[in-house]
Amino acid sequence: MDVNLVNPFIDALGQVLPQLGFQSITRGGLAVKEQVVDSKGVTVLIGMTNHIRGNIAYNMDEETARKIASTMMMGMPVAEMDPMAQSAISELVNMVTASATMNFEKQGLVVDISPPSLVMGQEFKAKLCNSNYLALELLVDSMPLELNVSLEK
Amino acid sequence: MDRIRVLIVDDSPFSQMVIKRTLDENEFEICGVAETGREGIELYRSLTPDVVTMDITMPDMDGLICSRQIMLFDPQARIVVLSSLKDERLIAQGKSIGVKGFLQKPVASQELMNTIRQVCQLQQIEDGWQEKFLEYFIQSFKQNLKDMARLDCELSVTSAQGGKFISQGLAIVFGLTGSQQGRMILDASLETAQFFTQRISEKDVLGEEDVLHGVAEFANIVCGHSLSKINNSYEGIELRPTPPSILFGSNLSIVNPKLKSFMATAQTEIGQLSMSVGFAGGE
Repeated sequence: MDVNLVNPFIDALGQVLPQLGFQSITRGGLAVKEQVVDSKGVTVLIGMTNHIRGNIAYNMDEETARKIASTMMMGMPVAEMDPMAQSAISELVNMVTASATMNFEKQGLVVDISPPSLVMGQEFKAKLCNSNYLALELLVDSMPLELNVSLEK
Repeated sequence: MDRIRVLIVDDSPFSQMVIKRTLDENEFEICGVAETGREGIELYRSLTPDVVTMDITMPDMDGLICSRQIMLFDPQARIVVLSSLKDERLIAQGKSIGVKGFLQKPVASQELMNTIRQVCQLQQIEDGWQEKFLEYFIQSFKQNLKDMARLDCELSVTSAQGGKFISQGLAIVFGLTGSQQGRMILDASLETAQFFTQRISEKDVLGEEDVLHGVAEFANIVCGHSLSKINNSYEGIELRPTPPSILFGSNLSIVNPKLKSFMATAQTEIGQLSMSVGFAGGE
């Protein structure tokens, strides 16, 4: 997979997260991994078609998901992943991915995205479409978020 | 006919007055006016208007953030952004939130009234198509169970709006893009998936990988047949599947907050196979 396909997502995070009340985004390691994503507890899948095809998995633990939802709801306490928190996390992924598609369009690549599917569970794995995917570690206000990108032009 | 109830969210008294004057009072009722985003969210909750006109630049919050808060409260909210700003990024962000219309100030009276009317009608068109599209998925699921796995059975169909889909162990997820957005899930327990793949491949011994790919291929065929028929039957409709994601594990549930979802279940001699299909509103 082309490593450059990750950049529009990194830019999108920088464009969208500050608007939602997040202060800092720190990039961690980038690794090529094989086939299967081990979920940290909350994994949001979103698919792409058109000039770029594949899937992206936004992977986080439940505590991070609750904290992110709380920040998005202006600090309202989020004790559990209730429907409001699920909706907030889905919305975040939708906004970041929509911004990434705008960044792809600047490179002349037209991309359509599917609605996000939020997957929750104690122990599960997600096999993204291609054999290899790129895993990017991020810290959003010190909360670990992993971006798994499996895309082909 | 009832008048269309409109909530204005705009910090400019001048803009509020213009919007009020613009809308024909025989057809539209201004049910509330909010001067800040926060007030807009509160009034939306108490008034539940048919349509919101939303400014972008407000003192306490951005109009898109205000829209997102309203959509979190009511995913069916109909919001028309009315702003002096109108660029591609704003439109893309607004659409991703679920904003239904964008107009640039100053806006012509007819244009505003037409947009509000269209946004209200959108809901009526949406009411029927999801069920119609679902029929194609049900037919394809039933037919391919019979043709590929020699499983001839009736399906039970239930509506599951906003509901959580609980997997039996293995779930194949396809996103749907194009003129309408949605997703399809095909789900079975790992045990049923094993029996199922034996039937469709006519092999007795299969590794885990073969089982995942076998069920994914079946799901791909069900999805592909359904979409081809829908695309052929409706002019102007073009739906495409994303590549599948294969989920497996225990206690896993899938949520799509904004989708209207349905579940079709087949009780077969090798166990239960389920298909969930959900659609969001189109553009």
